[in-house]
Amino acid sequence: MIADGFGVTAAPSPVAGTPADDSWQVGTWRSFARHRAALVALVVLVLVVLTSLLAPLLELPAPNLVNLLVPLRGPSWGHLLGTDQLGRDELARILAATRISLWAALLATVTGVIIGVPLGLLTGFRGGRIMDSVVSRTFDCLQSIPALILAIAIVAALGRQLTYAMVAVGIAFSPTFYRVSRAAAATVAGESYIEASRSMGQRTAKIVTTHVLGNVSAPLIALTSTTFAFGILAEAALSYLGLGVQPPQASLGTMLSTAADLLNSSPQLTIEPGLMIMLLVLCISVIADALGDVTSGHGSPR
Amino acid sequence: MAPGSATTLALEVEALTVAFVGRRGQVPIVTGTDLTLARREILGVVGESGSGKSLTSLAIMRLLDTSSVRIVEGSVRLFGRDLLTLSEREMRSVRGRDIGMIFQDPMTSLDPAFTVGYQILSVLRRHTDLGRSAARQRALELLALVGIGDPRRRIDSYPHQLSGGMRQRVMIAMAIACEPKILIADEPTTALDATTQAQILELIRQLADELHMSTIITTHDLGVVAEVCDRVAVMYAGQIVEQASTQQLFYHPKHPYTERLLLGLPRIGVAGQMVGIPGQPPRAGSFPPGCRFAPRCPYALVPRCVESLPPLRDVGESRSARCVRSDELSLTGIGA
Repeated sequence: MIADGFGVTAAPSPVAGTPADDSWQVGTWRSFARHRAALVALVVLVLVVLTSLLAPLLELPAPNLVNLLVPLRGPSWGHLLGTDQLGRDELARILAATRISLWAALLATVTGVIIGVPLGLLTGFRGGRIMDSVVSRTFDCLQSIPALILAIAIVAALGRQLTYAMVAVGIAFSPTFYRVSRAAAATVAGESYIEASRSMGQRTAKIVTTHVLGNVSAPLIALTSTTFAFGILAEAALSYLGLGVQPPQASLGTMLSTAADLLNSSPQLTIEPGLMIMLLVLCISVIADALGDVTSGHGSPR
Repeated sequence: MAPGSATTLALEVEALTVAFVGRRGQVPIVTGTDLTLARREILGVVGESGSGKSLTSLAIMRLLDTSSVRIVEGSVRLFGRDLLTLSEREMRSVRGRDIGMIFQDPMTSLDPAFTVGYQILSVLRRHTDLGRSAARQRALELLALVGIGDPRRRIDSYPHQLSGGMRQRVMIAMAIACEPKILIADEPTTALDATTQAQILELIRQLADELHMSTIITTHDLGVVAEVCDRVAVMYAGQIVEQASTQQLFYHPKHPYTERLLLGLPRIGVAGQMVGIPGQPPRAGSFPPGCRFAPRCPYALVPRCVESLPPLRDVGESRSARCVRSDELSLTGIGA
C-alpha cells in the first residue's frame, strides 16, 4: 500500500463534464482498491471476522468443553488445530477468543472516540482561550498516565472484568482522538465555507455536525482504524496479565499466558493465538494506512 | 430619517462604527459609515483592500468575529427593523432568508465534502418547510435560474468538479434560494477571470431585477461599478468619502480621492500614462486627525484640511462628499 502512491492522485478528475455518477463513495472505493495489499488485508480480515462470528454455527466442539482424555494433541481431523492441556479444541477456542478480542477492541475504540471527538470538535471550532486550555491540559494529564497502569487501577477499583479494563484503555486512547479532532476542527473553523453557511443562517450545531465533522472525518477514520489495532494488542496484554478475560473463557491473551508454560513441549499452543493477534493487527494496520491515504485526497481542507 | 422615506429604503446603515477590540482598548476600523440602499437599487461600495468595505458588509450581517472585532456604534435597519438589536436567534433567521450573501472566493466558500445539491438543500430546509423532494425540485430550478446547464447532473456534483464560474453560480443560487430582499455580494468577481466576471455581473443584475432584490456589491474594481451599479459609495480608510449616482461619480467626482481613482483607470484611445496615487493609505489606529486622504491629496491645504475631520456633506442632489473644498475644486472625471 505504501509502495504505490496511486490512491492520493486517484480523486475524481476536476475536468468539466465529469459525470456526476463519479460520486466520492465510488471514487474512494476505486482508489482504495488500488492499494493491493489493503485489498488483500480487507478480504482476510472479513474472512476471519465472519468465521469467528459464525463459529457457533460450525460443527466444532464447544470452546470450553474439557476432554482430559486427549490433552495436548497435535492437529487431527477431529481437532484441526489440536487440543490444549485440558483437551479443549484449539480452533474453537481461537475463534471464540478472536470474537472477544474484536469486541474488546471495539469497546476501547468507541470509548476513546466518544470522549475525545466531541470535546475536540467543540474546543477546536469554538474554543475560547480558557475552555481550550482547561480541556487541553486535562487531556495532557490523562495522556501522562500509561494506559496499562490506568487499566490496572480501574480494574483494581471496580473488579476484574474485561469491560472495565477496555473502557480504561479507551480513556487512555481518548487524548489522541481529542487532539486530532481539535486540530482538524480548528483548521476547518477558518474556512470560508463555514462563514458562508453562517451567512445562510445555519445554526452552529448544524455547522459542526455537517461541515466540521464532514471535513475532519479523513484523519479520524485513519486514526480510528489504527486505534482498533492497538485495542486488540491492549486486550491481549491485559488478559495476559490476568486483568481482562477470566478463565475459563478464551481470549487471545489468556491463551497465550497459559500456553507460555508449555512453550517447550507444545509450542503450537503459543504460536496459534500469537499468529492470530499478528494477523488481525497487521490487516487492520494495512487497511488503516490505505484509508488514511485515500481519504486525505478528499474532504480534508487543502 | 423622515418616517415617509423609511418605506422606500431597503437598508439603512447609520453611523456604523466597527472597532478592533484588543487588550489595549478599541481601535476603530470603520468609522461613522452611513449607507442607504433604496428598493431594487444596486449600490456599489468601492475601496481598496483594508478600506473597510468587507467589514461593513459583514457587520450588516452581524458575522464579525466578535472575539476581536465588534460593532461599537450605529444602527442597521432592514425595512425599518434594527438588526443590531435582534437576538442571535432572530438574526439567524434574517441571514439567508431576508439577506443573502455571496463571497469573494467560490473555490473556498463551498464545502468540498458535500455535493452542490446537499448544500443548496440545507439552505432551503433551514428557512422553508419544503419536503425533501420539493426542496430538490426547487434546487434544480435554482441551478437553472443561475444559468447552470444540465442541473439534473450538476446537482450531484462536488464543488471540485465545477469550474470557478460555475461554483460562483452555485453560491449565488444558495444566496437567492429563499428569495431574499437584499443581496450582499462581497467582491463577487475578484477571484474570477475576466470573461467569467462579466457573466457573473450580468447574472447578478438580471436576478436582482427578476427577484426584486436590492443589492450591495463591494469591489475594488471601478469597472464592476460602471457595469452594474446605480449608485456608488467610495470608501477610504474606514470612511465613506463620496456617495453619488454612478454617472455623476464617473463624470463629475466631488472628492479628490475619487478623482485620483478615476485617473488611475486605463483608457482606450487616450494617450498618456495612468496616474497612481503616491503614498499609502493610513492604517487603522493611526488615522490623522484631519481629512484621512489629506496626506496624499494634491489639493490639500495646510490648516483647513488637517485640523479636523471633514463631515460627509451634501454636495448636490442626493450626493455627498467628505471634502471641505469640494465646492471650490473642479475635479476631472472620465470623458473630461
